[in-house]
Formats: sequence, C-alpha cells, structure tokens
Amino acid sequence: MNRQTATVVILLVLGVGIGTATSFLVLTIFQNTRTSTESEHVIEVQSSTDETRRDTDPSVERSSSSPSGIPRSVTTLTLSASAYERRVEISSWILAPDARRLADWLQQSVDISWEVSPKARRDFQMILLTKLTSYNPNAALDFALARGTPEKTKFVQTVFFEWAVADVDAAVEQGSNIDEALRRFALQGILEATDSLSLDEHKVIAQRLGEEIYATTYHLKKFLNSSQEDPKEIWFQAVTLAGLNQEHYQILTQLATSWIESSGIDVLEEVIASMTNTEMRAAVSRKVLVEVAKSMPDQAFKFALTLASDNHEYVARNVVEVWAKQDPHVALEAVEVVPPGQFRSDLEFSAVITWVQSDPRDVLVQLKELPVSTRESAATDAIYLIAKDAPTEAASLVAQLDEELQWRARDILLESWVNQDLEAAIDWVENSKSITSADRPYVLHDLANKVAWIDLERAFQIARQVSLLGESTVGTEAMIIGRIANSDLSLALKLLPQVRAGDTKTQSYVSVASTLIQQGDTEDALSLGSQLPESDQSDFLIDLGQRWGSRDITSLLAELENFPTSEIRSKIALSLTRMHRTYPRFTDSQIEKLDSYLSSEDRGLLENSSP
Amino acid sequence: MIDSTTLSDRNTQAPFSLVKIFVWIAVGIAIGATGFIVVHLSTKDGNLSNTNSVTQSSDGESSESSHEPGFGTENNSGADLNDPALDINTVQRFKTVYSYVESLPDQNLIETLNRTINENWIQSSRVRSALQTALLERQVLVAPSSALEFALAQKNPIQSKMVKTVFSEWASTDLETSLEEIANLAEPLRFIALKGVIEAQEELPLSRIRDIGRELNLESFVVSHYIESLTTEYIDDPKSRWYELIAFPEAETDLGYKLASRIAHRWYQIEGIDVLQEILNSEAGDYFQRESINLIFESITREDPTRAFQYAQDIPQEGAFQMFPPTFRVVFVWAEIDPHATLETVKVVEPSGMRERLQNTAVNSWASSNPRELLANLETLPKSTQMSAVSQSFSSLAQSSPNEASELVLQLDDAEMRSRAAESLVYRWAQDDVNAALDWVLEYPKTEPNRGRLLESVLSMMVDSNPKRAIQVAAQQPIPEGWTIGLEAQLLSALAFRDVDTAIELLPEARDGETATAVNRSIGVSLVANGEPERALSLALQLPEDAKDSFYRSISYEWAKFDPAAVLAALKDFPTAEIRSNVASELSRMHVQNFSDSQLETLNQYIIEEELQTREE
Repeated sequence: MNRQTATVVILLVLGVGIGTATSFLVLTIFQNTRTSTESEHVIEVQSSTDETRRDTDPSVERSSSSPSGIPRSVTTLTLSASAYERRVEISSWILAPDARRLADWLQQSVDISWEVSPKARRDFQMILLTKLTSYNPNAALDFALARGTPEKTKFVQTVFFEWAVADVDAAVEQGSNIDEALRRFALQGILEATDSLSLDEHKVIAQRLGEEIYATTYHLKKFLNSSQEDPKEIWFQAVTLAGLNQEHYQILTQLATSWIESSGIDVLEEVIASMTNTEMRAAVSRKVLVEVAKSMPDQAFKFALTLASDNHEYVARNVVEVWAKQDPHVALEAVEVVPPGQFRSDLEFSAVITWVQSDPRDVLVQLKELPVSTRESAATDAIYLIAKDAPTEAASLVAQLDEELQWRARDILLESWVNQDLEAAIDWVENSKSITSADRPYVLHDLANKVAWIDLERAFQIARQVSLLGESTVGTEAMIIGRIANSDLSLALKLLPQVRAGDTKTQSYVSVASTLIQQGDTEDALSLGSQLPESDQSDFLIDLGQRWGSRDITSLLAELENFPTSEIRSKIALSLTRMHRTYPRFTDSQIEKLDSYLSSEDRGLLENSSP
Repeated sequence: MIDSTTLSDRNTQAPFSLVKIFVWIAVGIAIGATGFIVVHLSTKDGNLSNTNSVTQSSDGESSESSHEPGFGTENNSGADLNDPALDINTVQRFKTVYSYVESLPDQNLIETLNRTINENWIQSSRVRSALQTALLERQVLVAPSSALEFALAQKNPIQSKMVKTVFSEWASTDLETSLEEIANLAEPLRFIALKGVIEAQEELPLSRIRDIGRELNLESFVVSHYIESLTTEYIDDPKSRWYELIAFPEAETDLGYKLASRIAHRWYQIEGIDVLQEILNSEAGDYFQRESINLIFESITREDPTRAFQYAQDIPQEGAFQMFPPTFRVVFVWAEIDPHATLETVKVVEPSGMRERLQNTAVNSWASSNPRELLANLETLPKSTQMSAVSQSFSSLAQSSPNEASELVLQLDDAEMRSRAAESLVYRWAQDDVNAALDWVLEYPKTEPNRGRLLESVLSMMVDSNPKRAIQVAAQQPIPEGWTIGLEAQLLSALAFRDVDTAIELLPEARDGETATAVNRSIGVSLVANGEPERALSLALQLPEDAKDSFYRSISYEWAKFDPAAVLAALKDFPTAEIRSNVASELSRMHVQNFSDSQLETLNQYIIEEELQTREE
C-alpha cells in the first residue's frame, strides 16, 4: 500500500471512529431526553392490538386498550376496569419478569396510593402470585399470609395449587405447618393440582394436613361439577362415598334435588332408601324435603309424614315452616290431617311462628283464630318483633290482648323498650292505665330487674317504691342490692342505708357481706351485721353462714368459730347438712365437722326431718 | 520535459491538502454514523442488556419471554390450546388463552364458545374453563346480551359460573345496563349475577350497593354479600367507610360487626389511638362499638399490653361496655401471651366484682391456652379464681388429652376441686367418647360425694346412642338415700320422650316397684303425646293395681292438652270409680280452660262426694 492509500485508510478509519462515537453519544442523549418526557411505565412500546378488528357495540363503552409494556413501577400502572382488557394487558408481559421483580411488584401492589379498583388489584396480585410461586413458593406464601380477609384464603389456595403442581411433597409439608384455619384452603389447592389422584391417595395427603375428611368432600364436590346427564348414577356413587359430615349432607342434598328435578318426587323414596346410616338419612331427607317444599310444599309435607321414624317430626316441621312462609293459612289447614298430639301441636307451632316472623301485626289481629296452644307464643313473639322498632305501638297492642296473655307480652315489651328508651319504658309502667293497680307492683318488680342491667342505681330507686309482693317479706331492692354488690361494692354499701327495714334490709346486708367474704374481707363481712337492729343480727349471720358454706364450705368451716354464738353456728350447720342431704356435695369429714356444731335440739330436728 | 513516473511519484508522495483530509474524514464519519445506526436499529428489539429494560429471568421460561408476544399469529388455529403443558402451567395457560382470544375476530367468539362445549376440542378442563371465561369476557365487551344468552343456554354447573362471569364483566363497563338485565333473571341466577356485580364493584359506597339491592328486592342479600367479600386492606378512607357501615341497619349482623371492626382497625393503623375516643363518641350501635374497639385493643395488646391495659381502664363502663369493658379483651389476649404479668397487673384494680371478673377472665384464657401450666400454678392464683381455673383447665384437657386429665383429677388434694375437675372432665369427655367417659366414672372412687352426679351426667349423654347400656348401668346403681326411684327411671323418661318404642323395649330393665311405676307413667304420657292414647290405655291394663291411679291421672292430664273431648269419652272406661273421680277432679282444676261448661259439668259427675267436699274446703 502506498502512502496515500494508507493516509486515506487512516483518515477513513478516523472518520468512522468519530462518526460512530458521535452517533452513540447523540443517541444516548436523545434517549435520556425522551424517557424523561415519555410516560414512565412504558419501556418498550409494542404495537397495540389492532383496534380496527373489533366491532364495538355502541351501547357498551370500553376504555381503549392502553399500550402494553412491561411496567417498571406498578403503582403508576393503570389497569382497565374490564377484566378482559386487563388480562390481555398483563398477559403481554407476564412471562418476562423474574422472581425478584415479581416479589418487588407484589410488594408495590399493596401500596394504598395505587389508584386501582380492588378487583383489578386482586386480579393483578393473583396472576403475579401464581407466577412467583413457580420461582419462590415460600416468598409467595409469605405474601399470601400477610394479606387480610377475604383475599388471604384465595391466595393461599392459589399458592398451594401452583406449589403442588411443581412439588406436591413440599407443598404438603408446608401446608401442614401453616395456621390450622388456613389448612383447608391449602389442601383445596393441593387437591386441585393433583386432581387425577384417587380418593385414597388424596386422603393420605389430607391426613398430613389434619383434614382427612376433606379429601372425600373434594371428591363429592366434583360430582356437583360433573355432567347432569345421569343424576341417578351420580347419586349412587356419591352416597357410597359420603361420610357423616354436614358438608357431605349438603352436597348429597344438591345431588338429590337435581335428581328429583329431572325425574320427579317419586325418586325420593329411592334416595332415602339408599342411605343406610340413620344420621345421614335423617339429615339429608330433611334438607331435600325442605328444598322440595319451596316449589311443592304439599307433596313435600305428605312425604314427610310418611317417613319412617328417624326424625320425621323434625323434617315435617321444617317443611311446614317453608310452607308457612308462602301461605300460613293453607299450611295450618294441612296440618290438621295429623292426629291430635304433641306432633300436631309442634307443627301448628312451627306454622304460626313462621307466620309471626313475616307479619306479626296480622297474626295479632287473627290471634283468636289460631290453635289455642300457639296463642301465647304468637302474641309474645309478635310483640317482640314490633317492639324492636315501635315500642309505643307494641305497648298499645299489649293492652288489647286478653289478660292471660298480657303478662308475658308485657315482659317481652319491656325487655326491648328499656334498652331503647329507658325513661319512656319506666314512665309507661308507672302510669299506663292498661296496668291495673293490683298488677303494677309486680310489673315494677320485673322492670327493676331489667333496668339493673343498664343503670343499677336507677333500678334501685325503682325497686324501693315497689310494695312487698304477695306474702313475701323481702322487698325488691334486696335483689337489686345483691346484683349491685357483685359489680360495684362501694355503690352497694352506699345504698344499704336506704333499704327499707325488716327482712329486706337483713337480706340486703347478707348479699353485701357475701361479696365481702368472696373478696377475703371476712372481718368486715361479719361486722357489717352490727349495723342492723339487734333482733335481726342472728338471722343475718345464719343466712350469711349458709350462703357462705354453700359456696365455699372449706373456708366457712375454717371461720365458723368466729360466728358469735353456738346457736348461730348450730343453725348454720343444720341448714348446710339439710342442703347436703338433698344435694350431696360435702365430704364425710366436712359433714362430721358440721355435725360437731349441731346442738342437740337441732340434731333432733335433723333426724326428724329425715325420710 | 517532466517525467510521468516522476510526476506520479511526485503525485503519490505529495502531502494531502486540508480539504482532502476533511473530505476523507467526513466520508469516514458518514460511514461510521450510518453503520452505527444500522446496527443499532437491527439489534434494538432484542437488546436485553440495556439498563432501562427489564432484566430477563434465566430459567427456561426466558426463552419464551424473549420471543415477541404476538397476538394470535401462531395461535389462530387454537392448536396450541391442546398443549399438555397448559394443563399444569397456569401462567402459560393464561397467556396462551388470552392471546388466542385476542386474535379472534368478533364474529367468531360465539362460535368458538360453542366449540368449547364440545369436549373433544379442548382436552384439558382447565384450559377449557379459562378459554370460556376469556371468550365470554370479550363477548361481553362486544355484545353483552349475546354473552348472557350463551351463558343462560348452558346447564349447571357451568351456567352459574358463566352467568357470574358475564355480569362481573358487564358491571365493570356498564353497570346500569347490567342491573337492568339482572331484573329479568329468576332466582337463583339473580343471586349469582348480583354476586358478580358486587364483587366487580367493590369500591362503590354501601349506600349504592343497598340501592342496587333495593331495586331488585334483594337488599339484605346484597348488603350481606358485600360485607362478606369486602377487602379492607386497601381502604384509603377507613373512617368514612366505618361511618357509612354503622349507619346501615342491614349491616347489623355478626359479619357486619366483624367487618366494621376490621375497618376500624385499619382506621386505627392510620390515625392512631384517638380513633378509640371517636368511636366511643359516635352514634354507632353497641355491637359496632364493642367489636371495633375490642379489635383495636386486641391489636394494641399484642404490641404493648401494659399500655393497652391502661387505655382500656379509661374507657367508661357504660353503654356498649356496661357489662364487658374492653379491659376484658385486653386481659384475655394478654393472658394468652403472659398470664403471670396479666394477673399481676389486674391486682392493681380496686377490689371489687370487676377485679374478680378480670381475674377469672385471665384464668380462663390461661386455661384454654395452657391448661397444664395453669394447673401447675394453681396455688399462685387468687383464691376466688381457683375453682374456675380447675373447671376450665380440665374442660380444655378433656378435649385434647382426656386420659391424662383423668389421672390428674385424682391427684388434686382438695375435695371440692376434685369434684369440680371430675365434672368438667366428664361433661366434655362424654361428648367425644361417652363409653370411655363412662368406664372412667365407673372406676371413680365410691367415696367421692359427686360420683352419683357424674354417673347421672354421663348416662344421660349415653342414653340416645346406647340406651341399653345406659339403662342397664343405671339400674345397677343403688338408690340414693332419701329417694324412692332409681336412676333408670329418669333416663327412661327422657328416652320415652324421644323414642317411646325403645323405651318400651327397655322397660323390663327398670327395677320393680316405684321405679317401674314412674317409668310406665312416662311412657304412657309419651304415647299420648305421640297421638297414641290407645296404646297408653293398653299399657295401663298391665300395671299393678297400686300403680294405676297415678298412671291414669298422668296420661289424662297430657291427653287433655290435645283432645279434651276424647279424654272425656274415655273416662267412663277407666277401671275404678276412684280413679275416674281423681282424674275428673284433676282435669277440672288444672285444665279448666280446655273444657267447655257442659264438659266441665260432665266431669263433675265423676267426682265422688268426698272429693268434692275436700275441694270446697
């Protein structure tokens, strides 16, 4: 090569080098400039789907397909509301990312600032999780377990499905280590992944997760998903597999119902006869007849009556309940074919109570037409339902009931009313003309009891105004003080002086003292009685001793010597010994100890009262 | 003359001019630049080392990922859909299916759906199911009515699944029209379609969800399904959601309260402890408040139990917390973690019923989570809780290790504790294995005062599953002092109520005398209650004379509840005047409301003079 040629070559090479370097620099600068202004999530823009190929129904709006690309940052990704479009988009890049990126994206996907619908987020997570499991099932499981209800269970199921596809042993091993509440879902995933295995093989797997029965449940559920062409054949296969399990009964019910729908109710006899186990037969026949009753209540009822033994009465009641929801009058009439007895009464009751649930006011209007044995329950249940929303209306309805029904109805009304509007309820009891003056003290007594759940001091004030009931010598406030003592002893002590004199006061003091003893304040308990009139102090100590001994004989016996007189000690011993004879609870040595305190007179009383 | 060679030599040897130099350099630059650009463009699509692009994975799938995802080019025939790998590779299946569906013209979607019903085309049920879903989804975007028509034409179980898919997709793109269409569906498809809608529209406010339900007359169903399926993890404004939920009467269910508590917990995670006070001051119903605050306290307890306890003490004991302030939840959860510390802390509460209840709560929690440890520390417990501790511990142990528990019972020194332990053990054990429980009770020392009660308890639980053994064992037990009838009478009476025929079969097992008399009475009453008074009357004929009076009175009393006229008619055939008088007297007193005036007159005719006088007195 001569010199000129060489020079030319050198110059050309130099030029090529400069040209290459310059181009590289320009391209780099250009790319950096472009990426800072372009949408950040698109790195490689691939041609979008050919939109002209789709005919869009003008009535359906669709968001236009976004250019698909591999996202760099998940939270800037906009996912279509349409599941289809969203999945098309994700499918375009899902195979690309590695485990690290998948895990990273999943963590980003829980960012609350990501503006995406819950469904889209879940879909996205589910697909990524599926992929991540194939790389790193433990990481996938960690993600699933960190989620809340209800996604956690679905994610767990998915992870274990994918895991089992790749390595069933590892999946089963890990499945047995997760929280018991989630094992069923893990197992479901594993069983789906190993769907071709036999039931016995599935049972082995299920046993390792502590859910052996579920293997059978899984196989039974497959019957539900299979073709409905031969429901009879499917039924007989299923009933052979099923165990004594509520889920199995539910599946059998669906299969039986399908068979009946295709072949008529006459097959029900075959269904029932094919179940040899009593419990299964009872449970499934009940469920099936209840289903059938929704469309053919009269036939279902007739069939229920013919069922042999098992729980035919229970089944018939359930059927009547379904029927009564549709037409309570017809249901009640149909029940009359049953001979008078408890069974018929129960059926009538079921029909009436169902009726009350759907129209309580209507039932109250027709109360006198109902079977006698159902009237009280009908009235009280109706009042209960009405009182929940309209207690004042319920109160006026109570007043219209026959006297013998009013007590119970009033009780039900007040139970609800005091919780809604305490003062209105109290005012009604104190002033309503529908409550006779003879009855009012009893109603106030019940009211005080109810109010005690809400406002103890208010309850006490109500109780104080109640006159002594019947032949009782103990006023209502004694009962209230006892309740107060259990939850607020200082309040009970504060109110004690306000209790009316006599047995009411004595019993109130006994209640408070009992509580003191439970807290270990024996001395204070025993000395509390000194605030009573002297004539009542013995009764106080005897009653206190009896209550104490019935609750804790050991500690009473240890302290019995501290009771002031032998007479008191003897009475306590007598009372406890009598109690033991009716309801044995003390040891021989304890009985011996009690016996040692008996005076000869009291021992005589004891012997005379023995049978 | 110039020599040419000299000239050419001179020419070759002459230096380049600057212009020439620049020209050659420019040519080189042009060649270099052009070459670079050509190379760059030709390698751009496959450039994996560019730092701005996604790093490819190195496993087998990377080879798949490097090929440009085409849309249907090699999938137009659907041949790939029968690739066996798709049955187990979920992601590949997903990609292949959606690519394939995307490649189809709109007018082919229904035809392809129809092909999927023919099982011979797609072998794998998973692929087939995925394909049907994708096709339906796309068809909804194209023409939702025909998608629905297709779905409705199928049979269950795929019909339900398809209907849900259709409405889920439809609602995502055109909620109003999808709702109009649901109104035309019958149950149960209406429910299924609505589920699809609700799950697709989870972000809608609850008020809108309720309106949707109301328009379809399925308000409760819709609200409850919404509550069941709502995700709380991503709620960005849990406070508003919580207030919205508590205002809904339909949300006042167990699920609703639990959902409210999860939302409240989320709220607490964002805004902190002040949330507690706001919830307390809100108009929320008691259950909402209680569940919400309790869950928050549960969470705080797991982080910092002492702080949780202090906060809980500040919550006023009124309203929702009248009976059970949140302190109980704190104590229960804390005791699962550190029962000693919990009990120590509870000690500072002022002595009261409250303190005792808290101590009991801690002990119950301890008993459930670690009964053995609790029993080993029994002496350290507050005295008032020891009995409860024993009961709960043995009840827990009975579920997991009844044999171990049965040995521990007899190791307790205190007689009352032993009784309590035995009763708790037996009650729970008998529910799982009544025979084993009975065997143990039969070996239980006869000196123990509660042995009789234990036997009664376990035999009562056995009488349905193994009535013969239960009755036979009962009949062997001595009649307690002060009693006149044996235990078997009680069991046979209970059995007669449920299965009178078996009770009649086992009647010979009952001891003679008062026991047998009591049993006969129960059987007679059950026969009457079952609508078989004639059988009851036949039974009466076999009774000894001294048993007949009480028998006839009992069955007549029961009979008169259901059929007073029949009793009246039968009365004349009762064996003796005395029996007839006693029955009539009882009926006219106890069942007066069941008889008409003329029937009462008839009854009175049977009453002997003496009896009438006694009544008047």
